[in-house]
Amino acid sequence: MIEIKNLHARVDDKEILKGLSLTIPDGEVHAIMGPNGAGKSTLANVISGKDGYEITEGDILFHGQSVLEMEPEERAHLGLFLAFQYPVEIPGVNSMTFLRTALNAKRKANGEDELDGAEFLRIVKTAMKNLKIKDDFLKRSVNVGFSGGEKKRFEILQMQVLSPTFAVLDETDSGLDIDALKVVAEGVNMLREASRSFLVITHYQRLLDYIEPDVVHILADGKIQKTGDKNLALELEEKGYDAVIGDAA
Amino acid sequence: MTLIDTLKSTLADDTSANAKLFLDNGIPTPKIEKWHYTNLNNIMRTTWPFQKASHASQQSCGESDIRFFDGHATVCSVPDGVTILAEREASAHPILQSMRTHEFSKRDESLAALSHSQSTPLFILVDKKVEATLVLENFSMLKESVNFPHLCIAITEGASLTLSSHSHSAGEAWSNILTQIHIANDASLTLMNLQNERKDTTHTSHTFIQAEEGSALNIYGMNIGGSLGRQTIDIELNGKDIQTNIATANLADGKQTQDFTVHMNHNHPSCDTSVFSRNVCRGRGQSVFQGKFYVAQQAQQTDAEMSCKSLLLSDRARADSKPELEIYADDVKCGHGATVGTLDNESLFYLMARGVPRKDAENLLVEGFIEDMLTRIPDDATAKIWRAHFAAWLAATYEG
Repeated sequence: MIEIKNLHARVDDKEILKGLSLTIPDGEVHAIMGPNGAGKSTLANVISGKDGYEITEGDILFHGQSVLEMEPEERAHLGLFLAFQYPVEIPGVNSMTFLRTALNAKRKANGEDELDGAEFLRIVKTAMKNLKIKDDFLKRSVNVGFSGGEKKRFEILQMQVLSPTFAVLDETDSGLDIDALKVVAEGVNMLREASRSFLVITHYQRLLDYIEPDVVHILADGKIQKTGDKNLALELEEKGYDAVIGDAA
Repeated sequence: MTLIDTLKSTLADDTSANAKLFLDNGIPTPKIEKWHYTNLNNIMRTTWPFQKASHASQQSCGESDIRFFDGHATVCSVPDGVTILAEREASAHPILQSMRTHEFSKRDESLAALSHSQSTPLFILVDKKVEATLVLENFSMLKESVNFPHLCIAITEGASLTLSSHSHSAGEAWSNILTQIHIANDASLTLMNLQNERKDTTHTSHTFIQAEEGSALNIYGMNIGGSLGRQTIDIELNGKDIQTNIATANLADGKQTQDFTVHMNHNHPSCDTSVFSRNVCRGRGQSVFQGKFYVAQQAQQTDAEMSCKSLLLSDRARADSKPELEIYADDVKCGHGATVGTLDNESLFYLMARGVPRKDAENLLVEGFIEDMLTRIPDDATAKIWRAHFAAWLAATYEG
């Protein structure tokens, strides 16, 4: 379970999150929708521990433990995962090496043995098959020369391999055509289980047709303005932010 | 008395033009443009007297075909297509003879001139249309000595040579290497120079290449060791349709200076050139990259590209880059780009968000940065060896 309590976050002198509270129990998928500038990506970055944000108030508890003082890699070792809106291209770093380094770092931190090449390959090949990713894909440098769809599929591949207990998907649908969207959504749905929860950040209701959320929140002006079931997303699609949440949009 | 004082008094009676050039100009100072960023103060201040080994102290080559011990060559194996010539035979070969009698004249070539005046060259003739590969080692064994390995290589029409060399040392020394190469029409050269000297050794190498029509040059270099590593590559393109690929890497740590200086004269039309440089500096390390393309008026349709990227991993590290174009032709495509920066925070966060600890994430990014250069080396075995040397450099930290 992840609990975000009265979270206030600033970048430079600008307050972006203004008292955001959210609780996601294990096994649930929550969606966050919101207009541009609402603070969606800030929330994703703050959860995963990116530098450059000052937390002035509030807390983020993961299974009851505050993560605010932890480095990004410590949060990853606990089971947090962020699927990036804009996956970073890293020339010269082999995708397979990167993924194996990441998985073994996590295993080591959790007192598990590091995987040898063959065991690792078995896990990756299974995930690649699930996501219809070609064999030569992981021979390339991380995200270099990947199409928009390939980058997002690689994010989901990393999620399947690292097997987090809580994953934030930051606008994973942006830049995807409908076929790629379905593949990505199926990749997420495969991982849905009682011990794992998701926070799906999106601009559009379309993604939620494929990843059906248990709860939908509307984020605007740095706070959750409204919470409902999946019908809230449909209502939003139909009427727009202004009509549903009024001035806060 | 310093090293330089005793060296000059040893040379005092030498009337050759090369000895004279060195005596007149001495060690290059930063006032000379080609040496502006690389200060040879450590040689100027060396207090041990000049000595050079009189002969090779060993006759074995280990894994190599040829090994220079303190500047003296031991030849253990010669592949098909390669002939090692005695001085008398070489004097009958016009090209090798012209190398032997070459007189350096520029102030910035005083160290090459010194080496020329002090060395007995190894003459190599590559004259069959086979792909010959030579593995060479420069090894400085004698402590507090100066050594002058010297190669004169002629690759005849249509022939091909791959020369992989590795320089290292057992005691404080100065290795001043001279290589003169002629590449005839449609011949090809692949040159791979790894400099990994002891941390108190100075390494200066001077490679002069004359390339003829339709030839191909692939040159790769890495500076890792030494207190100072300077590799100068000077290329004259004397014909049309010459393809040149150069990729270099400087790794500077402690108080090291690592320098690649590449000058290329495009004298004829339709030559394609690519120069690619990667530099990583940490501690108080300094990297230097100087690249210059000269394009003569008749060298139309020259296509020449230079790229230099430097990574600074500490506040006191320093990278000097000087890409230069001097173009007199009007129908050419020439470009250069140089960047200096630190590790990219977005990339670091991406790796750390996946669980990779900060130090490992930093190392992965530095590896990726250098891998971009290593991946250009066509010979997998050499790339693998260089990768291992680089990995050891990355894992170690030292204050030198």
